[in-house]
Amino acid sequence: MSNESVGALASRATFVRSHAVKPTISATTQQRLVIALILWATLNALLWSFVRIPGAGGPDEESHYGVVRTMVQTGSLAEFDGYDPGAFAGLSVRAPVAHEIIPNAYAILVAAVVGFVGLEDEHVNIHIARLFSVAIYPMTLWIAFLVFRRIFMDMRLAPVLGVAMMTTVPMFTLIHSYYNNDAPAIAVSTLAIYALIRANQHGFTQRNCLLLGASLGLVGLHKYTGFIVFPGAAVVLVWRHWRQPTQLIRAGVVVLGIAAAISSWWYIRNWSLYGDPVGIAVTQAAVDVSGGAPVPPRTRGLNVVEFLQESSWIGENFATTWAGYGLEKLKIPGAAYIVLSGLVVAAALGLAVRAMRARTTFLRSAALPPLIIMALLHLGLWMVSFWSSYTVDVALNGRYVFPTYVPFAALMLGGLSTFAAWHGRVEAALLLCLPIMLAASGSYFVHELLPDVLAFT
Amino acid sequence: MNAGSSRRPGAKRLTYTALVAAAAIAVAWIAVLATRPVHIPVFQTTREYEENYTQVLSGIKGQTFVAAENGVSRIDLWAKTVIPPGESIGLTFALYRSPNLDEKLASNTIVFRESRSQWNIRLLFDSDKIKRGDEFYLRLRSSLSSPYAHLFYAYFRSDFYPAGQLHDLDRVEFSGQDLKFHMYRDPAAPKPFAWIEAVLAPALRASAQSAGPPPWVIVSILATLFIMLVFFIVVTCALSSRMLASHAQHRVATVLMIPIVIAVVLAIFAGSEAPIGKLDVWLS
Repeated sequence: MSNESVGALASRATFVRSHAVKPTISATTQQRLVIALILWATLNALLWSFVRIPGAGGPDEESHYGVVRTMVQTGSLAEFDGYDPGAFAGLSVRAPVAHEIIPNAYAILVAAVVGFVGLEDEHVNIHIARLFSVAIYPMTLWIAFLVFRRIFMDMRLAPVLGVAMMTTVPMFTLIHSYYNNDAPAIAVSTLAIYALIRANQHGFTQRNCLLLGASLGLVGLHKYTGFIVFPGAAVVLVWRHWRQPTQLIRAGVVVLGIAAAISSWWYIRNWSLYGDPVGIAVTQAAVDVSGGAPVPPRTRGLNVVEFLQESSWIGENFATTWAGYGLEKLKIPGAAYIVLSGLVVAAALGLAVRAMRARTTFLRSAALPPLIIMALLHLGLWMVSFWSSYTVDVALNGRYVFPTYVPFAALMLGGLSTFAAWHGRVEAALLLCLPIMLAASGSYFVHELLPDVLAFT
Repeated sequence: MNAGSSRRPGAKRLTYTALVAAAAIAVAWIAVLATRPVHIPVFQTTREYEENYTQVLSGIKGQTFVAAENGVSRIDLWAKTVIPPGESIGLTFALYRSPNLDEKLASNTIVFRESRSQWNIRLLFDSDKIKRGDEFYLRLRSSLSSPYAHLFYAYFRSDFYPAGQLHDLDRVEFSGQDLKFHMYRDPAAPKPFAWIEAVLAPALRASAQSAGPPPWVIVSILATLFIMLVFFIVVTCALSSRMLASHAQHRVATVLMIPIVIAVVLAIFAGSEAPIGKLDVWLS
């Protein structure tokens, strides 16, 4: 054998060892980077919570905190008694479900603590309530890391980048810096997605059913945007056990039974108080009675295309998924949106290529491929959000799909990793994205968030 | 050693040459930003609503202000021009104590010769002219070389700046309107502390306005975040260089990578302060 061919073999051997077998960052490094990212995210959210005007930290903070205030004052759950005349007159949105009706067990905990501390200063009380949103953030991120680690078992950097994305996307941080009902819905949905991925990978064992049932029960006690996990769980359960009906029924009963035991009291209460367990009908009736509210697009006779053209639904939802709300508030520069659009398109193309490659194999697999579950959850929630906008209340807020942010990040990672293996130079370049992503988040604080506060007064 | 060592020597030399060149450009970029003057944000009109544009028909627009802090030394404005080829628009910026034009503080004239959908004009002036609480008036007098040349200013129809008013011909035409502007002051500390002040001062003001915690809490969090950013820069550069370079060379690669990443980080943080795409006008 010539020297050249020996060298070529050695090179190939090195390539095989370093790229296919030995991951380029160790599991310890992976975990340390993630812990550092979570620490950064928590401190960042804490900082944001301190500098935002109480009641105006983000969309609807005042009304969300109003529910807590009522609970503190009355010592019981808030009750919905309709809207003031003309409450929605002249506005572009109507309430989909009243804050007092939509499940929010988290508010009970916040109200208990705020009531226990018992301060007179309302601003300080709002800051205390915000601390709950901040405290939820590291938990959500750690569970998200566990999900990413299960999905991308052969890509050590992917979970780090997934957490980095959830750490640095401005709207995701903002949600965890002011008092709202999105942050707890995101946390419990992320937990349910983790339980779902576990059950999908290891089967619906007693332990996995218990975890999934409990997490779905918690989802049932929070904002409806997290409910997409219920049909997702049903799809995974049926996929795994459709050939074993007994197991299918047993697992279904256990999961549903636990979930119902935890969350059904809220809906029973709604039924007894309003005659409407979910509250959409009673809220819409109250909105109509208040007078002057905008009429939903479908009721106005618009078709889907006309609705999209009139509302800029796609563009506004895309923009506010990354940052900002309202017309201009807290949005990022146009150049950043162009880059992010490019990444989303590239990821979508990558996922399409993946789907083509895997189309013949996935139907035979016992477990549903995780990225299929992620796509079902995330795209499913977008569809629900769209239908809700079209038929009930026009929602131009990307945050409504945040309960499936982990699926979104997983789809981005899965799509972008299709074109080049994340090893060697690619992995090195991706690692260098971490400080740049953090810097972008810091820059948002300095150039968007602070000026917004200083312009407020 | 990994993939980097299995590449041909020529390819490795190319990688290193590229790395050295990128590091040199990065250092130059860092130097450009480091030599830029530092300004501390004092007030900005809303970012919640999109601005309108008002065409200058009378030739004279203006805006009154009240200095919220000492040392106000910069006001940013936004304008757009529509200028036929060969034509121009002269624009004189002048600072006065009031719209009565009784005491001129500083002025300068520039000439626009091209159409542009957005000019970011940065008016710079001595910080000792205006004290905290002082009222002052910025007068914008334009002269068009042709009736087909048009000048527009970004403004808001709502009163997002109650301390001042948009003026036309040195008087208030419609109450409750304001130019879109950002106001800055000089830093109290010299560089490099001025850069820290540029972040810290608005953060402390925002916290105070929001009934936030004592200043030391904000300072501590910002300091920790800064240290963690430095940590991430160093660690990711070290890890990346190990993936690219041989054991003997990865330290050199780390040292070369760090300024490159810092340059990108600075571009994100302070890129808007770079003298690119901005119109700096010194009023004297």
